[in-house]
Amino acid sequence: MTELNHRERGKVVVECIDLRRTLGEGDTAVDVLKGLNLKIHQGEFCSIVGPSGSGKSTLMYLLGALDRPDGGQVLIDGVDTRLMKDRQLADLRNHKLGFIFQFHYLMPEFSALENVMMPMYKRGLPHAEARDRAQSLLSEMGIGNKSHRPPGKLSGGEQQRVAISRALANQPLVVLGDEPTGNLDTTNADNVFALFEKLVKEESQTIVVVTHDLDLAARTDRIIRLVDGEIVDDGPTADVMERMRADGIVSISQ
Amino acid sequence: MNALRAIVLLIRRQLTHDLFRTSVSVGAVASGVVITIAINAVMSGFQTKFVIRTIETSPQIQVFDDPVSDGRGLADDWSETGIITISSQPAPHDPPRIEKAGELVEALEAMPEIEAAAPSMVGSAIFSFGAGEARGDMVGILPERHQRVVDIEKDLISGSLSDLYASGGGVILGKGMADKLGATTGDFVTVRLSSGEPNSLRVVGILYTGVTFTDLRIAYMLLSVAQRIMQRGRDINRIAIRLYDFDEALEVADEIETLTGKRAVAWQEANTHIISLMNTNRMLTNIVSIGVLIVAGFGILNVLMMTVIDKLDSIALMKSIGYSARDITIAYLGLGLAVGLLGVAVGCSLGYYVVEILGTVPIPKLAVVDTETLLVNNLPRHYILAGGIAILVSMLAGVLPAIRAGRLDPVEILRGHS
Repeated sequence: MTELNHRERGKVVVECIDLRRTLGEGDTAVDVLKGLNLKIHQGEFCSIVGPSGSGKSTLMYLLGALDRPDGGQVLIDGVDTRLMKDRQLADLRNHKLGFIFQFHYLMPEFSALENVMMPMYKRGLPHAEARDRAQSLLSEMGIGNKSHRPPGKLSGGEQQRVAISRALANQPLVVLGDEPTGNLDTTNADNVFALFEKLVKEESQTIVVVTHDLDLAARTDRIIRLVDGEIVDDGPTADVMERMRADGIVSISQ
Repeated sequence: MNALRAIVLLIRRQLTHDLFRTSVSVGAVASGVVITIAINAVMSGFQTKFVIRTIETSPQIQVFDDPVSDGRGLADDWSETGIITISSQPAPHDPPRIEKAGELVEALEAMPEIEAAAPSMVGSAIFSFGAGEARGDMVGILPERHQRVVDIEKDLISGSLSDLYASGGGVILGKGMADKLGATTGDFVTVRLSSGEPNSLRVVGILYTGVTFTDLRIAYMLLSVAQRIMQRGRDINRIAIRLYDFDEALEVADEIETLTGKRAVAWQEANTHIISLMNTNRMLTNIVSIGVLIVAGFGILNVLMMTVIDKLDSIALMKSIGYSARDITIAYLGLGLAVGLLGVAVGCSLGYYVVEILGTVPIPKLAVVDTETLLVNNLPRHYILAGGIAILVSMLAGVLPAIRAGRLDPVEILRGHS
């Protein structure tokens, strides 16, 4: 097996320093993130919550090295992404990050197994090793017997489990989920979060998810609350939930 | 290297996932390849037939006693002397005699490039039979020697070369001339120069070369008979030459002119108007071929652009899991190349059968080469040419979509869904 990302519980794996991002130009320019400071530690299960337009997804793309900030820094495993070239960022995403999107984003031409193998191919794992690991991940997700089916032949929940398997394929330092359950029914959403909880508990996996669902956010260890591009609250889930209730907030859209 | 495996897998799956789209783009390339192969086969078929028949049925080099041209024109005289001299002396109707022809023939046969040389007497004459009349070319020959230069026997459809020795003189007529006169073997035709006594010769053979011009004009007779008709004593006015390699004709003709000071005409020069027409046709063929394949290239470009637009999600995903812009660009370049290769494979396979079928298509009689069906030449180089251009065009067609795919911003795509 190729080198794994060493998991040392508690170490800072993601850090944002005065992070800024502006979208649009001229009169239409909007400051989406206004100088965020944030540290995420190994083994944390964080949720980022906030109303639409608060900058949650923008923050997620910056944390995932898919986008570049207009100001400030993002450090992944201590490495500043600002100075990295496109290919270095691609390698960083491949080696240290795993993405799960709301709309699954599975490649329809490939089987479930091949979808999971794609990041491992890029990393350079031999075919047999990539195949065995992909099959093992799908089995752990409970869909090992459907590994050769194309995504179109899988249910929404099954597709998202394939996407999670793919995100875990290279044993990333951080798994980033952008509304990973936003397109699922309650049962499937609950199952996905149960999987996340298991990964955090058993494998010290760091997981950061953006969610609109306060009930699901309540199952994470830490909530980071964004409003208008600024972190208005950040702390252990119970504390943040308590403060939100005190402020009369009963849903994320508020 | 496994990233390459992923790219190859991606290309394979993109090709097989949307078979209709793949079929359209592969079909565009294949059509271009088929058309290119077919038009080259037809052009080449005609040219090859003409060239082969020309070098088989006429001397590859003809040596005349005319002085070699110094390449000067009237303009040169004017610029040097300010005077242009216009002579009233008419050009001789037939080439003048060749002095010491026997020695010259021996000297020519001693040249390493020359397989055989034969003296002959040539001139224009009017042939008539009954009410029929035709202009033609008398060629007085020594049958055995001339047979070594031009394989006349092979093209005789009646009679034989030795029948020329018939008492009183025999003549072998080209089939076109015989048909025009209405004469056949055993008939007596009348031969006369523009001024002179008519001579009666018995038709002892009919020659069919397939080269229309030759079949319409040729009339072989014994050298002595031609000399008698033309009242040229024992003169000869042409030496016909066959080479070991007919492609060397131009070079050897130049060498003969340098060595002997006599005018030597290679078969290419003797047919310069047709050769230049063929060259023009070849150029037009190439332009049409490339044009057809470029049109096919635009087809691929269009399909690949559509594919990129359809695969935005996959491209964003590929980038999110670590594939770089370069990987994506290579994948789509590879897709263009794969479409090209498939198109070439299909096009070459179909092209072979299309050419075979074209070879059976009946056509009206050609002015230059006698044939009842389209002349085709199924040559490997046509496939290499068509395939090479098609692959190049396919790769070029893939460049723009590939660069576009590589440059796509995954965040913009992901925002589109959020």
